[in-house]
Amino acid sequence: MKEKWLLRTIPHEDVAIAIWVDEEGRVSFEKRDVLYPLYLLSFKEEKTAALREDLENVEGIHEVSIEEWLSPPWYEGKVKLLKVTSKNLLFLQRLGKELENKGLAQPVNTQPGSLLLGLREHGLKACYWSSEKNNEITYHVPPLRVLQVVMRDRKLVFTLYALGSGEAVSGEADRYDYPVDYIDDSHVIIDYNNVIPTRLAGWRPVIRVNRNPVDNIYGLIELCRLSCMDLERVSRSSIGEILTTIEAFRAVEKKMLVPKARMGGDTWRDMDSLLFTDKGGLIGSPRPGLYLNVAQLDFSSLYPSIIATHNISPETLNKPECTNIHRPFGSPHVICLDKPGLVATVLRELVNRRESIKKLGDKTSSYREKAIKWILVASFGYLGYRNSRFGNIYAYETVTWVAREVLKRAITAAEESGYRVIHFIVDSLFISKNSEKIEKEELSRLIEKLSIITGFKIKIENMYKWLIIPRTNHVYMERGATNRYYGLTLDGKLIVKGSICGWSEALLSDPDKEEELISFLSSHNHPRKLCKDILSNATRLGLDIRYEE
Amino acid sequence: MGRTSPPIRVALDQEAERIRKSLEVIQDPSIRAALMDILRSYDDIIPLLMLIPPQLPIDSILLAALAKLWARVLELERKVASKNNTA
Repeated sequence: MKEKWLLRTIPHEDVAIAIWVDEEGRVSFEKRDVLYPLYLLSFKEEKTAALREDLENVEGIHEVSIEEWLSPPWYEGKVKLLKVTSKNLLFLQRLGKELENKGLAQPVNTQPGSLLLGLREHGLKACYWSSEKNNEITYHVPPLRVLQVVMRDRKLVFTLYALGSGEAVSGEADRYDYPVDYIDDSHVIIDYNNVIPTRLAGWRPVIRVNRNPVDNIYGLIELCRLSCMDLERVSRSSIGEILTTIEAFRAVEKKMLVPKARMGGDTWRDMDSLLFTDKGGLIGSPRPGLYLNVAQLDFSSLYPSIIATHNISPETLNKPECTNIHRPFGSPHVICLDKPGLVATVLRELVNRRESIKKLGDKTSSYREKAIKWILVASFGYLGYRNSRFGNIYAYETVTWVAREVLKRAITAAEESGYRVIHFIVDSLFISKNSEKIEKEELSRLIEKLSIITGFKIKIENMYKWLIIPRTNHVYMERGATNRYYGLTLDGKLIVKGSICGWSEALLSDPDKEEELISFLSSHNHPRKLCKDILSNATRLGLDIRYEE
Repeated sequence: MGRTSPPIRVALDQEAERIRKSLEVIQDPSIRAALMDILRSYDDIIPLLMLIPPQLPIDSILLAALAKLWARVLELERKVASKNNTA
């Protein structure tokens, strides 16, 4: 039997239509019977059995069973859930709403939800090959034909290309003159301006990257495989939603009930405790100016690594009955190590997966790795987000606490090794050694030392020939910008951070000249010559240079 | 302190700005200049204040000013000592 790749599954009344693409790019449709599950939590636990009997007689329900699930917030105690299965997804959704309105039971595990749970249980995982069981690091993608549509000057500009081949066909049409032939010939449509009507797309997933920062097809496929959503849904979901779906699947596997809303909010706390714990990362106060031979060291995925290493998860923080407690770096909150935390487990897997994909080193893997990076970036913020199902403010505070302590240790260790710490931002350190060139071997020794001392991986982000930390527009204080710098790396790359935003605070007086200034800066290797040239070209570059006594 | 109160840098800036705006009421220009100097001093200790936040922003401004003065005293002592040694 030929291998097939699942593009998507569309539920329709009592069947699900699976759309497959084979190795040659041929599309096939298959009708499948899928039993979708709906999990219900009775408002009165003693009435669960009676409700089950009532539901067994309802037409359209395939089976009703009672299961025991772990209940939030600590996932220690058990609760009885009714599992109702049906072939009709719409019917299940209506049933859930009706029971809730009647005050009998509320649907739970609504994320990942009946659709994704049902499809996954029946092996219909989007972006997987039919024979694939696990999400391996290396996989191939069929020659999907992707139609990219963008609006430019009131015209539709479209490009049709097949993944894995360099061939592409492009064209242009009027606003409502849709490229129907191209649409018919494609498997996936990337619609940048929401111009293609759904009726024309038919069964094809239409990717609309409005909420998702990942807009590359390989990145989206990676997210599909992680979350079991199809391309269309994943492209329209926020990164937080994708992360929660991944976590929810893991929770369901462990029979941990996924609540409808966040469990356990912030409790009353005194001002001292808030001042002491409720803070962000550590940020330095650099002196503005020009620095020579600077190395920028960066902790790799620091926040997700902290979560993964220290078992930080909502159900492990400040747990009342715990035998094995852990207080990382003297944190004010206590972590329970009795069981692996849900969020910590998921993030550990994602961090490891990203590392493995990075090692593959090809172009598609870089898109995949970046897609996972987005999840990792959002993961920490989502811990503190009030609507996050797997969030907890104490978990959030513990992460920032550990991050501050880690950076503090790194600063001390770097200074003890004879380096001057010019600046530090949350998970980055800028160091120099009397403006002399730092040898790579020497830096590698330092990195090894810092990794051992802090317990987290650190890498060289950039080696600058020169680095400029500009002044802020503070009225009376000579203050360096904390998140803005320009620098030329040893391999000739100009790194500009934070200059485009907030230009009013920057060195420039004219924002239109910024690009010209950046190219001017990158053409210089030596700061002395650069300073002289800046002064003589100040007017042309639109610079406002203030002289001080 | 991002969730419930402004970050320490912002809190200090606000406090310093509040004082700076009322400096005109001080008649003696030398006192006014000295106060202005004190208001410029807290930037150096901001990372410390991120770890150990103060109850009141003015405490930190005064602590920073004291540290700066102390550093000047030490510097003077060092210079006097080296001058005495050469004499």
